[in-house]
Amino acid sequence: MFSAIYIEEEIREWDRVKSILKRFPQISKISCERYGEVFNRNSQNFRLQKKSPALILAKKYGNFVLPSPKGYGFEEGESYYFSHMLNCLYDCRYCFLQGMFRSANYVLFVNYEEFASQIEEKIDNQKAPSVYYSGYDCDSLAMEPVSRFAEFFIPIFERKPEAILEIRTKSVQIRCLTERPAIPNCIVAMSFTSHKSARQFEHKVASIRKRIQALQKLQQSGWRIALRFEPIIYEKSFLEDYSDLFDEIFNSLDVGRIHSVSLGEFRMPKQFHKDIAKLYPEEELFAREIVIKDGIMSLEDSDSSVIEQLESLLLKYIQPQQYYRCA
Amino acid sequence: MSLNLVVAHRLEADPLVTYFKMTLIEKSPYTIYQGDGGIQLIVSGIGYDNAVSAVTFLAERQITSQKNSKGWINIGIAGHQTAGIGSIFTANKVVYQKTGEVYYPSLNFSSLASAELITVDQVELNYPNDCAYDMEGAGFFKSAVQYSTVEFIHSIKIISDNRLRSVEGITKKLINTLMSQSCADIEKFLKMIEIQIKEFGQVINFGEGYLNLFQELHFTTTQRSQLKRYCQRYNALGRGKELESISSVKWQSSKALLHELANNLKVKEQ
Repeated sequence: MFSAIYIEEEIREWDRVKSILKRFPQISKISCERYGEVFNRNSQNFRLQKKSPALILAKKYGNFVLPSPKGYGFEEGESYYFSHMLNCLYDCRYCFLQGMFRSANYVLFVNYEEFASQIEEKIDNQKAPSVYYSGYDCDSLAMEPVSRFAEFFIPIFERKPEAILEIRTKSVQIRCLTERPAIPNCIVAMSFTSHKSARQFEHKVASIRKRIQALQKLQQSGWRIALRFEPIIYEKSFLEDYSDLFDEIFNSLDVGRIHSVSLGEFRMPKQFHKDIAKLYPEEELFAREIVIKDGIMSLEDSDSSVIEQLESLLLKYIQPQQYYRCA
Repeated sequence: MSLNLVVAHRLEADPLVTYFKMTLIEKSPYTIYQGDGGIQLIVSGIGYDNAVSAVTFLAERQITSQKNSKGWINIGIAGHQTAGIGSIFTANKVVYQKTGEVYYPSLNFSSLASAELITVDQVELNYPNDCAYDMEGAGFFKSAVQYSTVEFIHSIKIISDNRLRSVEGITKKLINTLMSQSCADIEKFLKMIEIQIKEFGQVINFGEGYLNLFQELHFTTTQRSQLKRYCQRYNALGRGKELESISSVKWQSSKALLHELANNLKVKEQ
Protein backbone atom coordinates (compact mmCIF):
# COMPACT_ATOMS: atom_id res chain seq x y z
CA MET A 1 0.00 0.00 0.00
CA PHE A 2 2.84 2.42 0.81
CA SER A 3 6.41 2.38 -0.48
CA ALA A 4 7.66 3.36 2.99
CA ILE A 5 6.43 4.90 6.22
CA TYR A 6 8.20 7.94 7.62
CA ILE A 7 7.59 8.75 11.26
CA GLU A 8 8.44 11.93 13.10
CA GLU A 9 10.64 11.00 16.05
CA GLU A 10 8.48 12.98 18.48
CA ILE A 11 5.41 10.83 17.87
CA ARG A 12 7.05 7.44 17.42
CA GLU A 13 5.74 6.09 20.72
CA TRP A 14 2.20 7.44 20.41
CA ASP A 15 -0.51 4.80 20.59
CA ARG A 16 -2.16 5.98 17.38
CA VAL A 17 1.17 5.73 15.56
CA LYS A 18 1.95 2.32 16.99
CA SER A 19 -1.42 0.99 15.98
CA ILE A 20 -0.96 2.27 12.40
CA LEU A 21 2.54 0.80 12.16
CA LYS A 22 1.29 -2.54 13.43
CA ARG A 23 -0.85 -2.86 10.30
CA PHE A 24 2.21 -2.73 8.03
CA PRO A 25 4.92 -5.01 9.41
CA GLN A 26 6.56 -5.48 6.00
CA ILE A 27 6.96 -1.81 5.08
CA SER A 28 10.22 0.05 5.81
CA LYS A 29 9.87 2.50 8.71
CA ILE A 30 12.11 5.54 8.58
CA SER A 31 12.41 8.14 11.28
CA CYS A 32 12.59 11.83 10.51
CA GLU A 33 12.75 15.01 12.57
CA ARG A 34 9.90 16.87 10.84
CA TYR A 35 7.70 15.75 7.98
CA GLY A 36 8.81 18.68 5.83
CA GLU A 37 12.27 17.12 5.46
CA VAL A 38 10.66 14.48 3.27
CA PHE A 39 7.53 16.21 2.02
CA ASN A 40 9.02 19.57 1.07
CA ARG A 41 12.51 18.54 -0.02
CA ASN A 42 13.88 19.88 -3.28
CA SER A 43 14.34 17.85 -6.45
CA GLN A 44 11.35 15.57 -6.16
CA ASN A 45 8.72 14.71 -8.71
CA PHE A 46 5.02 14.41 -7.85
CA ARG A 47 4.24 12.29 -10.89
CA LEU A 48 6.97 9.74 -10.19
CA GLN A 49 6.02 9.54 -6.52
CA LYS A 50 2.35 9.08 -7.31
CA LYS A 51 3.16 5.65 -8.72
CA SER A 52 3.97 4.42 -5.24
CA PRO A 53 3.60 7.03 -2.51
CA ALA A 54 4.93 6.75 1.01
CA LEU A 55 3.00 7.53 4.19
CA ILE A 56 4.36 10.18 6.52
CA LEU A 57 3.10 10.21 10.10
CA ALA A 58 3.44 13.66 11.56
CA LYS A 59 2.32 16.08 14.24
CA LYS A 60 0.71 19.30 13.12
CA TYR A 61 1.68 22.53 14.84
CA GLY A 62 -0.95 25.27 14.85
CA ASN A 63 -3.50 26.29 12.21
CA PHE A 64 -5.60 23.25 12.89
CA VAL A 65 -8.82 24.95 11.84
CA LEU A 66 -8.82 27.60 9.13
CA PRO A 67 -11.52 29.81 7.62
CA SER A 68 -12.77 28.06 4.51
CA PRO A 69 -12.08 29.70 1.15
CA LYS A 70 -14.83 32.06 0.04
CA GLY A 71 -17.60 30.20 -1.74
CA TYR A 72 -16.28 26.79 -0.76
CA GLY A 73 -19.45 25.52 0.81
CA PHE A 74 -23.08 26.19 1.54
CA GLU A 75 -24.09 29.40 3.27
CA GLU A 76 -24.86 28.47 6.83
CA GLY A 77 -22.98 30.64 9.28
CA GLU A 78 -19.22 30.83 9.69
CA SER A 79 -17.34 28.08 7.93
CA TYR A 80 -13.96 26.49 8.50
CA TYR A 81 -11.92 23.61 7.15
CA PHE A 82 -9.43 21.29 8.73
CA SER A 83 -7.01 18.85 7.17
CA HIS A 84 -5.84 15.86 9.13
CA MET A 85 -4.16 14.67 5.96
CA LEU A 86 -2.33 16.06 2.93
CA ASN A 87 -2.74 14.33 -0.43
CA CYS A 88 -5.17 11.75 -1.62
CA LEU A 89 -5.21 8.04 -2.40
CA TYR A 90 -6.85 8.75 -5.71
CA ASP A 91 -5.15 10.13 -8.79
CA CYS A 92 -7.56 12.57 -10.38
CA ARG A 93 -5.80 14.36 -13.16
CA TYR A 94 -7.71 17.58 -12.58
CA CYS A 95 -6.82 17.76 -8.89
CA PHE A 96 -5.18 20.97 -7.68
CA LEU A 97 -3.17 19.09 -5.05
CA GLN A 98 -0.78 18.04 -7.83
CA GLY A 99 0.17 21.67 -8.17
CA MET A 100 -0.05 22.60 -4.51
CA PHE A 101 2.39 20.02 -3.14
CA ARG A 102 5.83 19.02 -4.37
CA SER A 103 5.37 15.52 -3.04
CA ALA A 104 2.72 12.89 -3.71
CA ASN A 105 3.44 11.18 -0.40
CA TYR A 106 0.58 11.14 2.10
CA VAL A 107 1.01 13.12 5.29
CA LEU A 108 -1.23 12.01 8.14
CA PHE A 109 -1.31 14.37 11.11
CA VAL A 110 -1.99 12.12 14.05
CA ASN A 111 -2.54 14.66 16.83
CA TYR A 112 -6.30 14.42 16.40
CA GLU A 113 -6.87 15.55 19.97
CA GLU A 114 -5.38 18.96 19.19
CA PHE A 115 -7.58 19.28 16.09
CA ALA A 116 -10.56 18.34 18.23
CA SER A 117 -9.75 20.84 20.93
CA GLN A 118 -9.45 23.69 18.40
CA ILE A 119 -12.64 22.64 16.63
CA GLU A 120 -14.51 22.56 19.92
CA GLU A 121 -13.09 25.92 20.91
CA LYS A 122 -14.19 27.41 17.59
CA ILE A 123 -17.67 25.94 17.94
CA ASP A 124 -18.02 27.24 21.48
CA ASN A 125 -17.02 30.73 20.41
CA GLN A 126 -19.64 31.00 17.66
CA LYS A 127 -22.86 32.88 18.21
CA ALA A 128 -24.56 30.98 15.38
CA PRO A 129 -24.17 27.46 13.98
CA SER A 130 -20.89 27.02 12.16
CA VAL A 131 -19.74 24.59 9.47
CA TYR A 132 -16.54 22.52 9.43
CA TYR A 133 -15.32 21.00 6.18
CA SER A 134 -13.02 18.05 5.95
CA GLY A 135 -11.63 16.86 2.64
CA TYR A 136 -10.02 19.97 1.21
CA ASP A 137 -6.41 18.72 1.16
CA CYS A 138 -7.27 15.02 1.05
CA ASP A 139 -10.17 12.62 0.69
CA SER A 140 -11.76 12.34 4.12
CA LEU A 141 -12.72 8.67 4.05
CA ALA A 142 -10.42 7.01 1.51
CA MET A 143 -7.85 6.06 4.12
CA GLU A 144 -10.26 5.36 6.97
CA PRO A 145 -8.95 1.85 7.74
CA VAL A 146 -5.56 3.44 8.48
CA SER A 147 -6.50 6.89 9.74
CA ARG A 148 -9.68 6.12 11.72
CA PHE A 149 -10.58 9.72 10.97
CA ALA A 150 -14.36 9.34 11.04
CA GLU A 151 -14.23 7.07 14.06
CA PHE A 152 -12.52 9.86 16.00
CA PHE A 153 -14.09 13.04 14.66
CA ILE A 154 -17.75 12.12 14.36
CA PRO A 155 -18.17 11.74 18.13
CA ILE A 156 -16.72 15.25 18.51
CA PHE A 157 -19.57 16.64 16.44
CA GLU A 158 -22.05 14.33 18.10
CA ARG A 159 -21.29 16.26 21.27
CA LYS A 160 -21.70 19.58 19.43
CA PRO A 161 -25.05 19.40 17.62
CA GLU A 162 -24.97 23.14 16.97
CA ALA A 163 -22.13 22.70 14.48
CA ILE A 164 -22.13 20.97 11.12
CA LEU A 165 -19.43 18.65 9.82
CA GLU A 166 -19.17 18.08 6.08
CA ILE A 167 -17.10 15.08 5.09
CA ARG A 168 -16.16 15.49 1.45
CA THR A 169 -15.17 12.28 -0.31
CA LYS A 170 -15.20 10.06 -3.37
CA SER A 171 -14.70 6.99 -1.23
CA VAL A 172 -17.02 4.06 -0.77
CA GLN A 173 -15.35 3.21 2.57
CA ILE A 174 -18.50 3.93 4.54
CA ARG A 175 -18.59 1.09 7.05
CA CYS A 176 -17.23 3.47 9.65
CA LEU A 177 -20.50 5.36 9.22
CA THR A 178 -23.07 2.66 8.56
CA GLU A 179 -21.91 0.61 11.53
CA ARG A 180 -22.68 3.39 13.97
CA PRO A 181 -25.76 5.56 14.59
CA ALA A 182 -26.09 8.51 12.23
CA ILE A 183 -25.85 12.01 13.61
CA PRO A 184 -27.98 14.79 12.12
CA ASN A 185 -25.21 17.39 11.97
CA CYS A 186 -22.83 15.40 9.77
CA ILE A 187 -23.17 15.56 6.02
CA VAL A 188 -21.39 13.12 3.75
CA ALA A 189 -20.76 14.99 0.51
CA MET A 190 -19.89 12.76 -2.44
CA SER A 191 -18.16 14.27 -5.46
CA PHE A 192 -19.04 13.35 -9.02
CA THR A 193 -18.15 14.32 -12.53
CA SER A 194 -19.79 13.01 -15.69
CA HIS A 195 -19.06 9.42 -16.74
CA LYS A 196 -16.91 10.78 -19.52
CA SER A 197 -14.83 12.95 -17.19
CA ALA A 198 -14.63 10.20 -14.58
CA ARG A 199 -13.29 7.74 -17.15
CA GLN A 200 -10.81 10.25 -18.49
CA PHE A 201 -9.57 11.92 -15.35
CA GLU A 202 -10.45 9.96 -12.19
CA HIS A 203 -7.89 7.23 -11.72
CA LYS A 204 -8.14 4.72 -8.85
CA VAL A 205 -11.56 6.14 -7.88
CA ALA A 206 -14.59 3.89 -7.26
CA SER A 207 -17.05 3.84 -10.16
CA ILE A 208 -19.98 6.24 -10.22
CA ARG A 209 -22.32 3.29 -9.71
CA LYS A 210 -20.48 2.23 -6.54
CA ARG A 211 -20.47 5.77 -5.22
CA ILE A 212 -24.22 5.98 -5.76
CA GLN A 213 -24.68 2.65 -3.96
CA ALA A 214 -22.62 3.99 -1.07
CA LEU A 215 -24.90 7.03 -0.89
CA GLN A 216 -27.97 4.79 -0.93
CA LYS A 217 -26.60 2.82 2.02
CA LEU A 218 -25.83 6.02 3.86
CA GLN A 219 -29.34 7.32 3.34
CA GLN A 220 -30.76 4.00 4.47
CA SER A 221 -28.63 4.26 7.61
CA GLY A 222 -30.00 7.71 8.34
CA TRP A 223 -27.00 9.78 7.30
CA ARG A 224 -27.49 13.10 5.60
CA ILE A 225 -25.85 13.21 2.21
CA ALA A 226 -24.89 15.90 -0.27
CA LEU A 227 -23.76 15.91 -3.88
CA ARG A 228 -20.84 17.88 -5.24
CA PHE A 229 -20.68 18.01 -9.03
CA GLU A 230 -17.19 19.28 -9.59
CA PRO A 231 -15.04 20.05 -11.31
CA ILE A 232 -17.24 20.67 -14.31
CA ILE A 233 -14.95 20.19 -17.28
CA TYR A 234 -16.47 21.35 -20.51
CA GLU A 235 -17.02 18.79 -23.26
CA LYS A 236 -19.19 19.33 -26.32
CA SER A 237 -21.66 16.79 -24.99
CA PHE A 238 -21.65 18.12 -21.42
CA LEU A 239 -25.42 18.64 -21.22
CA GLU A 240 -26.19 15.10 -22.32
CA ASP A 241 -23.40 13.73 -20.14
CA TYR A 242 -24.70 15.46 -17.04
CA SER A 243 -28.30 14.77 -17.90
CA ASP A 244 -27.46 11.04 -17.90
CA LEU A 245 -25.55 11.39 -14.64
CA PHE A 246 -28.32 13.35 -12.92
CA ASP A 247 -30.90 10.78 -14.07
CA GLU A 248 -28.80 7.98 -12.68
CA ILE A 249 -28.13 9.65 -9.37
CA PHE A 250 -31.45 11.28 -8.59
CA ASN A 251 -33.40 8.17 -9.59
CA SER A 252 -31.37 6.20 -7.07
CA LEU A 253 -31.63 8.48 -4.06
CA ASP A 254 -34.30 9.98 -1.84
CA VAL A 255 -33.98 13.44 -3.37
CA GLY A 256 -36.01 15.21 -0.72
CA ARG A 257 -33.53 14.08 1.92
CA ILE A 258 -30.45 15.34 0.11
CA HIS A 259 -28.93 18.12 2.19
CA SER A 260 -27.43 20.11 -0.68
CA VAL A 261 -26.21 19.89 -4.24
CA SER A 262 -23.50 22.06 -5.73
CA LEU A 263 -21.80 22.70 -9.03
CA GLY A 264 -18.23 23.88 -9.30
CA GLU A 265 -16.13 24.94 -12.22
CA PHE A 266 -12.65 23.58 -13.00
CA ARG A 267 -10.36 26.30 -11.69
CA MET A 268 -7.21 26.68 -9.64
CA PRO A 269 -4.41 29.18 -8.98
CA LYS A 270 -2.50 29.77 -12.22
CA GLN A 271 0.80 28.63 -10.72
CA PHE A 272 -0.72 25.27 -9.76
CA HIS A 273 -1.95 24.90 -13.33
CA LYS A 274 1.48 25.76 -14.69
CA ASP A 275 3.19 23.25 -12.44
CA ILE A 276 0.73 20.47 -13.24
CA ALA A 277 1.11 21.13 -16.96
CA LYS A 278 4.85 20.56 -16.52
CA LEU A 279 4.16 17.27 -14.77
CA TYR A 280 1.69 16.12 -17.43
CA PRO A 281 2.66 17.89 -20.69
CA GLU A 282 0.77 15.29 -22.73
CA GLU A 283 -2.50 15.87 -20.87
CA GLU A 284 -5.12 17.42 -23.08
CA LEU A 285 -6.87 19.10 -20.15
CA PHE A 286 -3.79 21.17 -19.34
CA ALA A 287 -3.18 22.08 -22.96
CA ARG A 288 -6.58 23.71 -23.37
CA GLU A 289 -7.11 27.42 -23.74
CA ILE A 290 -7.36 29.09 -20.39
CA VAL A 291 -8.47 32.39 -18.94
CA ILE A 292 -6.69 33.86 -15.95
CA LYS A 293 -8.54 36.24 -13.67
CA ASP A 294 -7.18 37.47 -10.36
CA GLY A 295 -4.54 34.76 -10.45
CA ILE A 296 -7.06 31.97 -10.91
CA MET A 297 -7.28 30.00 -14.13
CA SER A 298 -10.35 28.50 -15.69
CA LEU A 299 -10.97 26.91 -19.05
CA GLU A 300 -11.82 29.38 -21.73
CA ASP A 301 -14.42 27.09 -23.23
CA SER A 302 -16.13 26.71 -19.86
CA ASP A 303 -17.74 30.12 -19.36
CA SER A 304 -20.54 30.85 -16.94
CA SER A 305 -23.16 29.77 -19.47
CA VAL A 306 -22.04 26.17 -19.05
CA ILE A 307 -22.71 26.29 -15.32
CA GLU A 308 -25.98 28.15 -15.93
CA GLN A 309 -27.17 25.47 -18.33
CA LEU A 310 -26.27 22.79 -15.83
CA GLU A 311 -28.04 24.73 -13.08
CA SER A 312 -31.22 24.78 -15.14
CA LEU A 313 -30.89 21.07 -15.74
CA LEU A 314 -30.18 20.35 -12.08
CA LEU A 315 -33.15 22.35 -10.86
CA LYS A 316 -35.41 19.94 -12.69
CA TYR A 317 -34.38 17.34 -10.12
CA ILE A 318 -33.98 19.30 -6.88
CA GLN A 319 -35.48 22.24 -5.03
CA PRO A 320 -33.71 25.61 -5.45
CA GLN A 321 -33.01 25.77 -1.72
CA GLN A 322 -30.99 22.55 -2.02
CA TYR A 323 -28.66 24.11 -4.57
CA TYR A 324 -25.60 26.33 -4.34
CA ARG A 325 -22.84 27.21 -6.75
CA CYS A 326 -19.33 26.57 -5.53
CA ALA A 327 -17.22 29.66 -6.23
CA MET B 1 20.84 3.64 -20.49
CA SER B 2 20.81 6.86 -18.50
CA LEU B 3 22.56 5.54 -15.43
CA ASN B 4 25.65 6.73 -13.63
CA LEU B 5 27.27 4.43 -11.10
CA VAL B 6 29.49 6.02 -8.48
CA VAL B 7 31.85 3.59 -6.77
CA ALA B 8 34.49 4.57 -4.22
CA HIS B 9 37.25 2.04 -4.88
CA ARG B 10 38.61 0.15 -7.88
CA LEU B 11 38.22 -3.11 -5.95
CA GLU B 12 34.47 -2.47 -5.68
CA ALA B 13 34.27 -1.31 -9.28
CA ASP B 14 36.06 -4.22 -10.96
CA PRO B 15 33.32 -6.86 -10.52
CA LEU B 16 30.70 -4.36 -11.79
CA VAL B 17 32.86 -3.44 -14.78
CA THR B 18 33.20 -7.13 -15.64
CA TYR B 19 29.53 -7.96 -15.06
CA PHE B 20 28.20 -5.06 -17.10
CA LYS B 21 30.92 -5.53 -19.77
CA MET B 22 32.16 -1.98 -19.43
CA THR B 23 35.23 -0.51 -21.05
CA LEU B 24 37.57 2.16 -19.81
CA ILE B 25 36.87 5.54 -21.42
CA GLU B 26 38.86 7.88 -19.20
CA LYS B 27 41.77 7.47 -16.79
CA SER B 28 42.29 10.91 -15.35
CA PRO B 29 41.33 12.82 -13.27
CA TYR B 30 38.84 10.03 -12.61
CA THR B 31 38.68 6.51 -13.92
CA ILE B 32 35.47 6.23 -15.91
CA TYR B 33 34.02 3.14 -17.59
CA GLN B 34 31.17 2.88 -20.05
CA GLY B 35 28.88 -0.02 -20.86
CA ASP B 36 26.04 -0.82 -23.23
CA GLY B 37 23.42 1.86 -23.62
CA GLY B 38 25.65 4.54 -22.14
CA ILE B 39 25.78 3.35 -18.53
CA GLN B 40 28.83 4.95 -16.95
CA LEU B 41 30.79 4.14 -13.82
CA ILE B 42 33.11 6.57 -12.10
CA VAL B 43 35.61 5.57 -9.41
CA SER B 44 35.27 8.42 -6.96
CA GLY B 45 37.90 7.64 -4.36
CA ILE B 46 37.11 7.12 -0.70
CA GLY B 47 35.30 9.67 1.45
CA TYR B 48 32.57 12.31 1.48
CA ASP B 49 34.47 15.02 -0.41
CA ASN B 50 35.66 12.64 -3.12
CA ALA B 51 32.09 11.49 -3.69
CA VAL B 52 30.90 15.11 -4.01
CA SER B 53 33.64 15.94 -6.52
CA ALA B 54 33.25 12.80 -8.61
CA VAL B 55 29.50 13.26 -9.05
CA THR B 56 30.02 16.90 -10.00
CA PHE B 57 32.75 15.94 -12.46
CA LEU B 58 30.67 13.27 -14.18
CA ALA B 59 27.53 15.42 -14.28
CA GLU B 60 29.34 18.42 -15.77
CA ARG B 61 30.96 16.13 -18.32
CA GLN B 62 27.53 14.91 -19.40
CA ILE B 63 25.86 18.31 -19.66
CA THR B 64 22.50 17.63 -21.22
CA SER B 65 19.29 19.50 -21.76
CA GLN B 66 17.48 16.67 -20.04
CA LYS B 67 18.28 17.57 -16.47
CA ASN B 68 16.67 15.23 -13.95
CA SER B 69 16.52 12.32 -16.38
CA LYS B 70 19.64 10.50 -15.22
CA GLY B 71 19.83 7.81 -12.60
CA TRP B 72 22.62 8.16 -10.05
CA ILE B 73 23.50 5.05 -8.12
CA ASN B 74 26.20 4.84 -5.47
CA ILE B 75 27.33 1.24 -5.01
CA GLY B 76 29.80 -0.10 -2.50
CA ILE B 77 30.55 -2.00 0.66
CA ALA B 78 29.49 -0.85 4.11
CA GLY B 79 29.56 -1.94 7.71
CA HIS B 80 26.46 -2.74 9.77
CA GLN B 81 25.83 -3.41 13.42
CA THR B 82 23.84 -6.60 12.92
CA ALA B 83 23.24 -7.38 9.23
CA GLY B 84 24.99 -10.45 7.85
CA ILE B 85 28.02 -10.23 5.58
CA GLY B 86 26.86 -10.10 1.98
CA SER B 87 23.42 -8.60 2.76
CA ILE B 88 22.41 -5.97 0.27
CA PHE B 89 20.46 -2.80 1.07
CA THR B 90 19.35 0.38 -0.53
CA ALA B 91 19.65 3.38 1.78
CA ASN B 92 16.34 4.80 3.02
CA LYS B 93 17.95 7.63 4.99
CA VAL B 94 21.47 8.96 4.67
CA VAL B 95 23.02 10.92 7.52
CA TYR B 96 26.40 12.62 7.43
CA GLN B 97 27.69 12.08 10.95
CA LYS B 98 30.01 15.09 10.86
CA THR B 99 27.40 17.74 10.07
CA GLY B 100 24.09 16.01 10.73
CA GLU B 101 22.87 16.67 7.18
CA VAL B 102 20.19 14.18 6.20
CA TYR B 103 18.95 12.88 2.85
CA TYR B 104 15.89 10.74 2.24
CA PRO B 105 16.21 8.59 -0.87
CA SER B 106 12.85 7.72 -2.33
CA LEU B 107 11.83 4.07 -2.07
CA ASN B 108 9.15 4.32 -4.74
CA PHE B 109 10.74 1.86 -7.12
CA SER B 110 13.08 -0.13 -4.90
CA SER B 111 13.26 -3.91 -5.16
CA LEU B 112 15.80 -4.23 -2.34
CA ALA B 113 15.52 -4.22 1.44
CA SER B 114 16.35 -0.82 2.88
CA ALA B 115 18.36 0.48 5.81
CA GLU B 116 19.54 3.75 7.29
CA LEU B 117 23.04 4.69 6.21
CA ILE B 118 25.41 6.82 8.27
CA THR B 119 28.34 8.34 6.40
CA VAL B 120 31.43 8.68 8.55
CA ASP B 121 34.84 10.26 7.97
CA GLN B 122 36.73 7.59 9.90
CA VAL B 123 36.07 3.87 9.63
CA GLU B 124 33.40 2.93 12.17
CA LEU B 125 34.60 0.09 14.37
CA ASN B 126 31.89 0.10 17.04
CA TYR B 127 28.69 0.20 14.96
CA PRO B 128 26.76 2.05 17.70
CA ASN B 129 23.42 2.13 15.82
CA ASP B 130 21.59 -0.66 14.08
CA CYS B 131 22.23 0.72 10.61
CA ALA B 132 24.79 0.71 7.83
CA TYR B 133 28.03 2.77 7.87
CA ASP B 134 29.91 3.99 4.83
CA MET B 135 32.19 6.88 3.87
CA GLU B 136 30.61 8.27 0.69
CA GLY B 137 26.80 8.06 0.75
CA ALA B 138 26.07 11.54 2.10
CA GLY B 139 28.58 13.23 -0.21
CA PHE B 140 27.14 11.35 -3.14
CA PHE B 141 23.60 12.49 -2.30
CA LYS B 142 24.59 16.06 -1.61
CA SER B 143 25.96 16.33 -5.11
CA ALA B 144 23.57 14.07 -7.04
CA VAL B 145 20.44 15.97 -5.99
CA GLN B 146 21.82 18.92 -7.95
CA TYR B 147 21.57 16.90 -11.15
CA SER B 148 18.54 14.65 -10.92
CA THR B 149 15.22 14.09 -9.27
CA VAL B 150 15.47 12.29 -5.92
CA GLU B 151 13.46 9.29 -7.16
CA PHE B 152 16.39 8.35 -9.40
CA ILE B 153 19.16 8.70 -6.80
CA HIS B 154 20.03 5.67 -4.74
CA SER B 155 22.78 4.20 -2.65
CA ILE B 156 23.19 0.42 -2.69
CA LYS B 157 25.33 -1.06 0.06
CA ILE B 158 26.67 -4.57 0.42
CA ILE B 159 27.58 -5.43 3.99
CA SER B 160 31.25 -6.31 4.38
CA ASP B 161 31.68 -6.06 8.15
CA ASN B 162 29.67 -6.06 11.34
CA ARG B 163 30.12 -6.40 15.10
CA LEU B 164 30.93 -10.09 14.79
CA ARG B 165 33.30 -9.70 11.87
CA SER B 166 34.95 -6.30 11.85
CA VAL B 167 36.82 -4.41 9.14
CA GLU B 168 40.03 -6.33 9.80
CA GLY B 169 38.39 -9.24 8.00
CA ILE B 170 37.96 -7.29 4.76
CA THR B 171 40.32 -8.57 2.07
CA LYS B 172 40.57 -7.87 -1.65
CA LYS B 173 39.14 -11.32 -2.25
CA LEU B 174 36.18 -10.70 0.07
CA ILE B 175 35.35 -7.43 -1.67
CA ASN B 176 35.49 -9.12 -5.04
CA THR B 177 33.31 -11.99 -3.83
CA LEU B 178 30.72 -9.72 -2.18
CA MET B 179 30.46 -7.39 -5.14
CA SER B 180 30.33 -10.24 -7.67
CA GLN B 181 27.61 -12.02 -5.68
CA SER B 182 25.52 -8.83 -5.63
CA CYS B 183 25.71 -8.03 -9.33
CA ALA B 184 22.50 -9.84 -10.28
CA ASP B 185 20.51 -7.99 -7.58
CA ILE B 186 22.10 -4.72 -8.63
CA GLU B 187 21.24 -5.38 -12.27
CA LYS B 188 17.61 -6.06 -11.34
CA PHE B 189 17.48 -2.81 -9.39
CA LEU B 190 19.08 -0.85 -12.22
CA LYS B 191 16.64 -2.27 -14.76
CA MET B 192 13.72 -1.14 -12.66
CA ILE B 193 15.12 2.36 -12.35
CA GLU B 194 15.91 2.41 -16.04
CA ILE B 195 12.27 1.66 -16.93
CA GLN B 196 11.16 4.62 -14.84
CA ILE B 197 13.81 6.86 -16.37
CA LYS B 198 12.71 5.91 -19.87
CA GLU B 199 9.08 6.73 -19.07
CA PHE B 200 10.13 9.97 -17.45
CA GLY B 201 12.26 10.82 -20.48
CA GLN B 202 9.23 10.40 -22.72
CA VAL B 203 7.35 12.89 -20.56
CA ILE B 204 10.22 15.39 -20.62
CA ASN B 205 10.64 14.99 -24.37
CA PHE B 206 6.94 15.16 -25.17
CA GLY B 207 6.41 17.39 -28.18
CA GLU B 208 10.15 17.89 -28.62
CA GLY B 209 10.11 16.33 -32.09
CA TYR B 210 8.18 19.31 -33.40
CA LEU B 211 10.97 21.69 -32.40
CA ASN B 212 12.94 20.48 -35.41
CA LEU B 213 10.30 22.05 -37.66
CA PHE B 214 11.55 25.46 -36.64
CA GLN B 215 15.30 24.87 -36.82
CA GLU B 216 15.89 27.77 -39.19
CA LEU B 217 14.88 30.34 -36.61
CA HIS B 218 17.01 31.46 -33.69
CA PHE B 219 15.42 31.29 -30.25
CA THR B 220 16.62 32.59 -26.91
CA THR B 221 16.48 30.10 -24.03
CA THR B 222 13.18 31.58 -22.83
CA GLN B 223 11.72 31.56 -26.33
CA ARG B 224 12.82 27.98 -26.81
CA SER B 225 11.02 26.86 -23.69
CA GLN B 226 7.91 28.81 -24.83
CA LEU B 227 8.13 27.10 -28.20
CA LYS B 228 8.45 23.71 -26.55
CA ARG B 229 5.35 24.29 -24.42
CA TYR B 230 3.36 25.47 -27.45
CA CYS B 231 4.44 22.37 -29.36
CA GLN B 232 3.43 20.21 -26.40
CA ARG B 233 0.03 21.85 -26.27
CA TYR B 234 -0.62 21.45 -29.98
CA ASN B 235 0.41 17.83 -29.68
CA ALA B 236 -1.69 17.16 -26.56
CA LEU B 237 -4.70 18.74 -28.25
CA GLY B 238 -4.24 16.50 -31.29
CA ARG B 239 -3.35 19.54 -33.40
CA GLY B 240 0.23 18.52 -34.17
CA LYS B 241 -0.40 18.70 -37.90
CA GLU B 242 -1.13 22.42 -37.62
CA LEU B 243 2.46 22.89 -36.50
CA GLU B 244 3.65 21.37 -39.73
CA SER B 245 1.67 23.85 -41.81
CA ILE B 246 2.74 26.75 -39.58
CA SER B 247 6.36 25.69 -40.05
CA SER B 248 6.01 25.85 -43.82
CA VAL B 249 5.46 29.62 -43.61
CA LYS B 250 8.56 31.82 -43.94
CA TRP B 251 8.60 33.50 -40.53
CA GLN B 252 10.34 36.86 -40.19
CA SER B 253 11.39 36.20 -36.63
CA SER B 254 11.03 33.72 -33.81
CA LYS B 255 8.96 36.36 -31.99
CA ALA B 256 6.45 36.48 -34.83
CA LEU B 257 6.18 32.71 -34.86
CA LEU B 258 5.64 32.51 -31.10
CA HIS B 259 3.01 35.23 -31.34
CA GLU B 260 1.15 33.25 -33.96
CA LEU B 261 1.35 30.02 -31.99
CA ALA B 262 0.11 31.77 -28.85
CA ASN B 263 -2.65 33.50 -30.74
CA ASN B 264 -3.88 30.24 -32.17
CA LEU B 265 -4.04 28.76 -28.71
CA LYS B 266 -5.74 31.88 -27.37
CA VAL B 267 -4.33 32.11 -23.86
CA LYS B 268 -5.98 35.14 -22.33
CA GLU B 269 -4.87 37.18 -19.36
CA GLN B 270 -7.41 39.66 -17.99
